[in-house]
Amino acid sequence: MPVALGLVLALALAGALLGPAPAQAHKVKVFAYLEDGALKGEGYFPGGGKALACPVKVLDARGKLLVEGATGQDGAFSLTLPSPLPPGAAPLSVVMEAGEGHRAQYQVTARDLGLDPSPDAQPARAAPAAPGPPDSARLGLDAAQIEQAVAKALAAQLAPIKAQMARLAEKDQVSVRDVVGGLGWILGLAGLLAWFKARRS
Amino acid sequence: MHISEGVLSPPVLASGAVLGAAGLAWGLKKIEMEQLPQVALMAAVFFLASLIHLPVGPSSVHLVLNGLVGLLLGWAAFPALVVGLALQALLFQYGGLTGLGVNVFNMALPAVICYYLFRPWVMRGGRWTSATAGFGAGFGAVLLSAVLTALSLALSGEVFISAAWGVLAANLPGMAIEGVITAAAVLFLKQVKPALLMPNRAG
Repeated sequence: MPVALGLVLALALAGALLGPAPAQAHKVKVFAYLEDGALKGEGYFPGGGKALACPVKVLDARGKLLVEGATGQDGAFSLTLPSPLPPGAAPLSVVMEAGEGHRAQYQVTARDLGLDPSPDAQPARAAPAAPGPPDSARLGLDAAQIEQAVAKALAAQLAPIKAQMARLAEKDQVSVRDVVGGLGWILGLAGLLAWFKARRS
Repeated sequence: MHISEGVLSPPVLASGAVLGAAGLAWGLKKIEMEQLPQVALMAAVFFLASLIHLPVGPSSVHLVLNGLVGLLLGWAAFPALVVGLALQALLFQYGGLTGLGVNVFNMALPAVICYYLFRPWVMRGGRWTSATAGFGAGFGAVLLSAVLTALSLALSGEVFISAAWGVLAANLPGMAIEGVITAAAVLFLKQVKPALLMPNRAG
């Protein structure tokens, strides 16, 4: 059936070309990263649109609700985590519901939170202030203040990078490989069914 | 329309699995050997259709095409959609595997209903009648699927009216577009390969 095959190939091509377009896709995704004691993140539809005003919940490793909120009009959310986190809370689960039966989940590991991966560790804390060398003492700054200022500047710079990395880790694009694989399975299953039916008769 | 993992309650998932399996078994029984390439083709069409997004105003719409699948396959829409949805869940993460039965039922039953409602018109009518019937099948299948999706969500705890309105409103542009595409496909097939639309024993 050359016409029919042509139709399927045309659809496959169209799908591969048109696929990544701004869309309300068949699934919704969410990612999160830590910044300044707050868990920030974004809900979105792969291929484009943001998840607006969707409820977000943060659960600990045992499923207990730690904090909840919602995404804003830009799809982003920012939730303050209880500090300090109870031991054994990590990995945290961020769960977002986007209506129409869409639900997304993202796991924030102990390492993402800056915690030691062993279950009973406490969050990393800044080293207590040691008296600075004489020069900095003359300027009225001590080591602790410098450290704080640097940490704050770094956090501000790293936040967008963390967001990008979290987003990249979620594979959003549908690859040609997936499409080819799926079509191969369909052909194979049809063949199997044909064999069964032929044996029957 | 593809309900994600972890949304539906266990009783709904279980009933959906039973209903989906029943439909699958019946559909498999109904497939004749000559029809098999058609079934595989429609499974492929459905599988690929969800990748296509058409811009509509500010946002866009994704295709489902269960109306077209139902028109051509009848009860065989169940096996075709089981395969299509399972592959979409595994490869694209659309929907989930625990909810496969529910999602299959929500999309395949409307396909079968549209087969019974519209195929006679498509087979016997002229160009305009077939096109209109095609539009009806495309539109109706998505509409019924939206209603069943809302019902599944309601049975799992959401308020039915708000869930129903939400799902319907989100899918309304999609229904119209699916209607147009199904009508166009029906006209195209009638012209080029009318054998696909001849009476078969899938009903």
